[in-house]
Amino acid sequence: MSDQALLACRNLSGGYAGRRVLHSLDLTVREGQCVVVIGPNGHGKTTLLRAISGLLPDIGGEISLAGANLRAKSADAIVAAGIVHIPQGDLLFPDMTVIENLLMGAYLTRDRQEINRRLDDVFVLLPKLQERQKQLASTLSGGERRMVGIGRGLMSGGRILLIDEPSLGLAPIVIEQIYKLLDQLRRSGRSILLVEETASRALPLADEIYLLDGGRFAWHGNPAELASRSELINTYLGA
Amino acid sequence: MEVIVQIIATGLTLGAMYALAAIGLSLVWGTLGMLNMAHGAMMTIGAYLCFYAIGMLGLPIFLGLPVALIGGALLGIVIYELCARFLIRRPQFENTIMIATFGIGIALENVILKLFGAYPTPQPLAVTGDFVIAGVHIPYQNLLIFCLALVLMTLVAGLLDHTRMGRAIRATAQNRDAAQLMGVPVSRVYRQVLGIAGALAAAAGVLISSQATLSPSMGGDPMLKAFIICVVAGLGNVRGAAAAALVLGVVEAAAQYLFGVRFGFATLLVIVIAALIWRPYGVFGRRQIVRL
Amino acid sequence: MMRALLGRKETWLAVLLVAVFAALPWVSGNRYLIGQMIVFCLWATVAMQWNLVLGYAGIFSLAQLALYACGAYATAMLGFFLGWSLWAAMPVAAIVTTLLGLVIGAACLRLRGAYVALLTLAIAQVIYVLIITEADCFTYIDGVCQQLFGGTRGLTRFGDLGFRHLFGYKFIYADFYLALALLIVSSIIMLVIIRGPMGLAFRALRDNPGYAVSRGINRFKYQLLVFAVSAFFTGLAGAVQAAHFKSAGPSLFSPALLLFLLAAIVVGGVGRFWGPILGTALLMLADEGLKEVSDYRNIGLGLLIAAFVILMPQGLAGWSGNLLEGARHRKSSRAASES
Repeated sequence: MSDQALLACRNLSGGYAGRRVLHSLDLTVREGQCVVVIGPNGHGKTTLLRAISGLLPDIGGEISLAGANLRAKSADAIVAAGIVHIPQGDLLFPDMTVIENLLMGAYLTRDRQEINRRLDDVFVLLPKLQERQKQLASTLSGGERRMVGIGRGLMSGGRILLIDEPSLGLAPIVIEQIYKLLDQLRRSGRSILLVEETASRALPLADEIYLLDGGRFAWHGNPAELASRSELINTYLGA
Repeated sequence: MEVIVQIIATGLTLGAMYALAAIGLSLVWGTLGMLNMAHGAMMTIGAYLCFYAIGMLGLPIFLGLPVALIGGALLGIVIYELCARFLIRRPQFENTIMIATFGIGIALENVILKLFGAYPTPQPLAVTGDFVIAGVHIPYQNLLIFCLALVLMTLVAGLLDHTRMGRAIRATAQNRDAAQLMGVPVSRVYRQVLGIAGALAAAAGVLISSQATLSPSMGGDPMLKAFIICVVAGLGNVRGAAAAALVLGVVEAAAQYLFGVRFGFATLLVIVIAALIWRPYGVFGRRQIVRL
Repeated sequence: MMRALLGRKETWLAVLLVAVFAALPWVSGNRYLIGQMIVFCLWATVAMQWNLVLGYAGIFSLAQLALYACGAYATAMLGFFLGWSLWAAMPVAAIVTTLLGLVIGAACLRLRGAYVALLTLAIAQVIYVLIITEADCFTYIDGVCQQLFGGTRGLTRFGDLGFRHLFGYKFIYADFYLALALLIVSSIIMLVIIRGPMGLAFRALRDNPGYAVSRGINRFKYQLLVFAVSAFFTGLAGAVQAAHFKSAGPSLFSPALLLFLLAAIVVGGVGRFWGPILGTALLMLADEGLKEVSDYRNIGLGLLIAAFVILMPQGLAGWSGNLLEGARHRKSSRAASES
């Protein structure tokens, strides 16, 4: 079974400057799956994604993508290997235009035609970005910024998307649009590792669910199993 | 009228040299968050490299500047590899790197002193003759300085705006984490930025020494002025630094004419203090929001 | 009281060091040695006061030598132009320096990090340039032009402390005890600051400014205070320097001295009480031992600063402190395992 794993974390631990946040996490994402990690604020969701993409200075355990070891590789090598991290709060390049931001997503791709093809795909998915392409990122609204963040991630053409709290700080109607987009991505066969604080939107997308509590996985399984565990739903998903 | 032409001609020449010095400093600050106190020593070394190549090795005159540019770039890269690389991930980087580069700068200056002696020497990269505008004689040297500075700045602007490397540099400066998530190898970007800044500093040193003279401590004064320009423009704002340099060059020339040479620098300082009290993040600087 | 500030062992060490140091002139009356010990006391004082701003408050000010020079110049000018006794001129000079320190501190109040370094460096440089380029005669003495700050020559012949009159050729002993007293008093005041609630506030402001401010610590107040205290004793050290050498000149601004003092702090340990004293002592000894290669002195000092910042950021004081801490730790853990 593990040989089918696209992304696998084994016994993963890590933290910041002496404070350990993650405690021996095991997590698997298979090709074409959408795996959702649910957990409250401050329990290590963002840290988990940062550990996978090489932004944490010291981590322990194993991380592999399609069998290739990622641990102790630099952040840029991890991106080159095919991990796409769409960070919390967008982290756009504020003094670049929308199109420049999108092109930065394809930084490691040198084939102009391939870049243009991906750009067309992104504009089909997110037509609003095409209208706004000459605008500076710092002048966009919150929803537009989120779309640029996702579009920029899609530009890199990696093998798996790590998406950090895409609904954070957005109006309900915009969250609706964003989740529609994520559902489209899932249906198109993209492998996704999605991290969210609130479960209601994310769960319908999930093939597999992990509940993160205090830097440890309290439970994992598929949606059908979760539905039969009312105590978990009460504790972690706020009913 | 003649006075005004004279002030503008002198001021623009000064400003062009300061701009070269300032944009390198600003670029390094903007990308690494590092104030390079060895920037003045880099200018000195560039000036002496040109002097050494033309005056002592007897290379043709047009090779002087390229030699300085390459030497300056290498020096910048060495400073990254031997010093900044180790400090950048540690806490208090902003202070520790200033202390470390301060030490490196003085050490380099004293190496020059040891090799070439303390006596001021003329820079062989110079042209003679002048031309007349509105009754004012303007040396061709001023024109040469202005044009060379302009060419170099245009090259840097083109590099930053239109190349893949330039885009990676801007991305790193605007958001280091995001740049890493796009696959930008930030340590390579840092090395490139210090290389570019070193080359620009060396060029500034060559031009400055071609108007005054070479001496081991020649970098100190233009470095301070470059600092002031960056502070006025907001550290890290490269375009603002170029604009501020030209304006402050003219202001300094005017102040020297009006109050005497010794007050030129003092006038700049009064302006910069006033500017900082008015806008602590620089005139064109954007207020950084510090998250608690 | 001292024990609350330093701890028992450190207090005894301090008392012992002071006793040995104070007795040294009577063991060897070598005038060169005593002269160097005076310089040590002055430089150690300046380095400690600089460390208060740099290491404890975390403000990278480069105007420390301008303050030192201010104390020396003010003493010299009061003696020279107004004919004041130096005993009256020195405290006034210290107060004048405090005012300058407050002005610089106020100019830096809203600035952070690199901006402070730039502004203070520029201020020091402007003062220096204005002094050495001074050409206008302030007055004429015996028909000779005399600039207000003495131009490139500086000021001399402004009286002395009267020790020569009192003690004859042993006046240098008195100069030494004056400098030593300055070092001791300024150290104790500094300890009171850094080990008291103020020191806690400084640490908070340095390590987490946002949190400190949100807990009601007034950054402006503490920053002005630290600049004032540091400037007062630095100015006083400048005053003693002027009185001892009977001159005040632009060499007080020399980059070599700035480099030496910064190296002393970094080698000894930034933000450590013993750091600057240890660093000044070691570097002065190294200076003595390495006279033949003095051409390379500034190259060596510059590289030393960079090397320590990179390889031993805690300095020697921090390193030996960790060593002692480690030994104590091993000892106590062994005791625990035996019981």
